[in-house]
Amino acid sequence: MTTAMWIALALGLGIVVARRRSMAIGLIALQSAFVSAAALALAPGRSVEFLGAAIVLVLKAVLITLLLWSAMRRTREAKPVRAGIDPMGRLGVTLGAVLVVNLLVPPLAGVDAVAQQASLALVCAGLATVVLRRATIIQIIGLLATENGLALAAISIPGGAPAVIELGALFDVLLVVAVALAFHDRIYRLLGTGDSALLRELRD
Amino acid sequence: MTDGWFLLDPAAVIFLAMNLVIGACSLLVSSRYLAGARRRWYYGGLLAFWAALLLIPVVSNLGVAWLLIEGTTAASAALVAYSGHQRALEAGWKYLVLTTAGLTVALLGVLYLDAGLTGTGYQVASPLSLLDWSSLHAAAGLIPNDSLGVATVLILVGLAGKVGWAPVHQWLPDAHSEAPAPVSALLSASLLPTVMLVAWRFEQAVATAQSQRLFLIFGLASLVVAVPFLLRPLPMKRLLAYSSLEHMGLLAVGIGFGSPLALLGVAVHVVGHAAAKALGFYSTIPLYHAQATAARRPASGLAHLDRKAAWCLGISLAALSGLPPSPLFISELLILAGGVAAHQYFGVGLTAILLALGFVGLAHQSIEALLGRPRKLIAPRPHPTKSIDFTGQSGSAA
Repeated sequence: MTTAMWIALALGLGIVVARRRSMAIGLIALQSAFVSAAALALAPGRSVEFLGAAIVLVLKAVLITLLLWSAMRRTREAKPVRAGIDPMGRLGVTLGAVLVVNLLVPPLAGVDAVAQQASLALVCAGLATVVLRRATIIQIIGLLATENGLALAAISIPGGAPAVIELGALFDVLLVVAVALAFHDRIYRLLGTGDSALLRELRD
Repeated sequence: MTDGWFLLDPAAVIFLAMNLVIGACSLLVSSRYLAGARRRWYYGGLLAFWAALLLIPVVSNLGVAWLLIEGTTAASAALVAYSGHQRALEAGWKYLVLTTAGLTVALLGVLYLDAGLTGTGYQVASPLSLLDWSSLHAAAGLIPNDSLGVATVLILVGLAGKVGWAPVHQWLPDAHSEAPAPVSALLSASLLPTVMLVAWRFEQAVATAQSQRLFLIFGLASLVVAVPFLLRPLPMKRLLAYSSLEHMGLLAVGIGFGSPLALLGVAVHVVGHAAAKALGFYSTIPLYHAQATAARRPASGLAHLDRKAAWCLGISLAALSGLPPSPLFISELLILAGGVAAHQYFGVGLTAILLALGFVGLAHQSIEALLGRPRKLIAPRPHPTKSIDFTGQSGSAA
């Protein structure tokens, strides 16, 4: 479980620095697979609802990877969309944010210390990806990385988070990703690229 | 009255009635907005959005409320970008990404709170019931202060992104100004206050000192950010959007004061704001149909263009500026008096100054918009002929 958490975090940092969309999709697929595997590994000692949520987590990982891959193939870029900051700069900002957040947040009651650190770090890495990247698909992947951080926090709670919340959140994520990919398609058709930085008309 | 999944207290009844009326009005007004345009999935999205807004005030559980709030995001983001224009896409994308990121942070807080509650050994019928408002109220005091504090900050900061409180308000002016007017009305008059109701219920349940302070900080920050924009000439829907930021800020200040008088003011203000803001957005439909530049330039001379719409917009802007004897004037007085009762003199002083400045700005913009020199009229533009395609039929969208 602990190993899976740290691998998931390393993959999250990989997404922050990944240059190509295909690489980022591969990394988020792997990360989702590790989180799902961790949930399945915990399932024997937990309730039937937890097992159900773990299986849905696996299905979600497969489905979202297919959706992302299909969107990438539909919207080919001549060259990778450049981020505003170079990869090492992005990694530095992300690690700094992870460090500060983990220093600020004290050990929480009922949460495993490693799971707490890993989930906070993954949420930070996901948010950093959303903020620091310009490619729309990679911003969506950033949101998915934060969601994997939430899944880590949820499975680390003794007994697991309420199944209604876990399943409902997974459904909401699928819905949001579907709409976000429709936006990505539309932006690509309008601008010829999935570069969100080119959407800069609204200013006061 | 509590019945398992649902809670019907006075606040729930007020919000349910408000969302019912605003949603029905938006539905009726939509036919005028869409005159001559393709409808496609518009009504499906609007009904899904409305249904979630009707459920949020009456659910008795923080986790379920979070699910419904997140559920509003997909439908409302698609509606914001309905016209398919580049500006609408930008607004919809920003709204989708920022509010989803915010709600992710809120859910992390909910999970940490759930873990803390599980650790207290508080007995409930099912794990989900731990997040009922009543369980939170009963068991929050048993959670160690550090854990409760972290969960509170994460939940309120995350929800602030959806309410549109400064400094996490960047999506609000863009989404309100680019969405179809009936959707803008639902966003401003229903969605923002309804999410704020969830934040308020949480604050009431955990009752920590820092949660009240956070409301005050968000409220004052929103007023400070919004008021300078009310003093500048802006396109009408953008002006109404910044007015929403101002009013959400005032509501947060009222909750932050926390006295019974201030909370009474908040209740009156929520209803008054919803009526005035929805009327304001509906009144912009003739303006935006008749003037192609209305989305980019400040409105001017609306009284010469459409007398009925000008009257409605005038009433809306007068109420929103807090002109006596509008209900918003009374609610603002109640909130300020509530602040004095709570001995929050700095907050009361700053709020009063900012409200006065906001009044001056909005009154000036109203006079210009209604009675100024009319802009050159342009024949009604085809409206909106190209809608964003969320059905996967990529060839059919513009």
